[in-house]
Amino acid sequence: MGDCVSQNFQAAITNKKILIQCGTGGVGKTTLSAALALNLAAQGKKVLVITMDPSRRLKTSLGLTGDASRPIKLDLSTLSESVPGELWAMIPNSESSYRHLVESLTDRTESREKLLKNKILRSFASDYSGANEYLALNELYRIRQSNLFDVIVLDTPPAKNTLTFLQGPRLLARFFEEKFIKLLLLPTHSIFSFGAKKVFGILENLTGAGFVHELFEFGAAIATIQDSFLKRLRSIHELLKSSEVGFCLVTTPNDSSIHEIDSFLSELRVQDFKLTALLLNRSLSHLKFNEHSDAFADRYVRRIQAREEGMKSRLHSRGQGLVLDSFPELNRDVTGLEDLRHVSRFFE
Amino acid sequence: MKVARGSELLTRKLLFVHGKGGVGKTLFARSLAELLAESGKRTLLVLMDDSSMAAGEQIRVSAHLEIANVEPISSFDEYARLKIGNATLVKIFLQNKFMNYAVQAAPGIKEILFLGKLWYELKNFDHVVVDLPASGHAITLFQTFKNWSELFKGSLIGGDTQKIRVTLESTSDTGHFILALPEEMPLIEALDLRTSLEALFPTGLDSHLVLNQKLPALGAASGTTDEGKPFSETANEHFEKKSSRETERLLSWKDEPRTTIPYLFGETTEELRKSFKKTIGAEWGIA
Repeated sequence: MGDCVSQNFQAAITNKKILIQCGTGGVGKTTLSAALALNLAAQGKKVLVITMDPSRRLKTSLGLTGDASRPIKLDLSTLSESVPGELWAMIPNSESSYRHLVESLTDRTESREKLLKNKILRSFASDYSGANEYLALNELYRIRQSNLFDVIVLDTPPAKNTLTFLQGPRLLARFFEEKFIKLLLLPTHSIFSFGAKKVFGILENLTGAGFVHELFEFGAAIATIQDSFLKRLRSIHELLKSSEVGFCLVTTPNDSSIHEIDSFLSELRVQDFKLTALLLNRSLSHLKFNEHSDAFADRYVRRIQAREEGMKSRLHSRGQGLVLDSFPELNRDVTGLEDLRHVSRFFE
Repeated sequence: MKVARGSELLTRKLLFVHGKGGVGKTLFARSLAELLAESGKRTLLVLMDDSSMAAGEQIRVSAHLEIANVEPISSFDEYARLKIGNATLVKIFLQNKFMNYAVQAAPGIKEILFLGKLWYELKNFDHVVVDLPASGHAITLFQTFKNWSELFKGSLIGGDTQKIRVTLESTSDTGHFILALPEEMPLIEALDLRTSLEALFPTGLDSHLVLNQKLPALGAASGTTDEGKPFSETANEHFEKKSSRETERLLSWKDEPRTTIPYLFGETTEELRKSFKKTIGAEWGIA
């Protein structure tokens, strides 16, 4: 059923230990990530799916109603067909992720305290785009180091566009590398250039002494971890570049614009990441319709199928041997493990 | 407060458009802005960090409609120039690398500048329609603004922040449209969003739910829509199931006032927008 090149997909993921699902909000990334993880568990593997923003219903159907900031093993016994492997799930929250990050960056209790309390850093961790993504990647790195799972599937945070996840950490790194951090560390009585003194004066006028004070506290707090942060970022980047990591772009016929896909592909190239597959979710190419009818259902399906065909031919013409896997849309919401199992079969 | 009719919100000057990714926020915001402009109201449509426009760009697209792409650094430039006055000082300040990074990164400043820009433009327009980023980020926008405005007290930004707050908290000046698809997850999230917004504005917040892409009624509502095989064979079967599930779901939401926009066909964005405008225009009586 459907138009799949699944054999290629399985071949493409053979040696992958980490699969990262990217895509905009609303394409079904989370469901597909869980389904992919289940597919791998069905092959006998011990799999962890890290998901950032699961719906309440999905959480309930997976049995994840409490705190899941540490990996939890899912109960697969209710499935009609037994699964030989293990499926674990984790839902990081920014509080615990930030704490894990701080712990990995410094052993010193005092430094940890400062970092955990700092207003600007905490706001950074929850608000700043790049931080969310970075925290997710740090969790991924941590767990990979622990070697507890055969495969980790990372469902990325919902974003405005597909590039956010890839670019966020890079922007963050630039911020930390800049010399301005050193500026913040110079005691105020030291030899400041006339310009610098003036600048801080203006800033204080504009934003108030309170904010400028927070800024200096911020500088002091990150001074202790700047080096280890950058080192960590480099390690994460090396991991993402390695051949054991594959990136998948999830899209839908409604959502997909070839422009977005191209931007995504070129960003992957820039960072030296490997594309594993394009996952076309909510496909309707499995549906038979009446060519000559103008009834809603026929009209809708005709339109979507045309978009899918257009997408596929444009992708094939790019001649990169892209793996494209299609997933038919369910005629209802995913209501539990059995439905996830239905979806997971399309990865086979 | 839930507003019964969408048209009621149109008396407000500042209109926020909320929703998750893929619900049609941008289409709705643009269509609404165009409708308002065509009815003779000077309207500004505000986008946040839009990739199709240059940073800080503001263009006139028709007699009464302008579109602004608000972006932190250029907003900061604009603001600094406005506030510092002295040209030499402004130059030193803005060219300082640190300042650039502080603006990009420091929480609070970005959000205040964005909301400040909106507030500032209210005196130039009858309506400012804001196409917000996906829901989580919108909440963060207002949350961060609230968290940090305390810290900026006693400063120039602090003073302006207070004025912005007054406008945001005034239900006669500000309204919120919340967009959702008639699917389970988006509906629940829309309600969650409204709850979060109301918590952020305890003195009151007027909002209206807009359901987008509703399917036509194709099958009788039945109670057994969650069973049976998950994949259909024909288009008819697929949509009958989807539609009857949707109808049933919306029945359980019947006490929720909302405006419903049917699924619209349109090959191009312009076509789609035209249909959209026709539908909302008729629903809300905008010329």
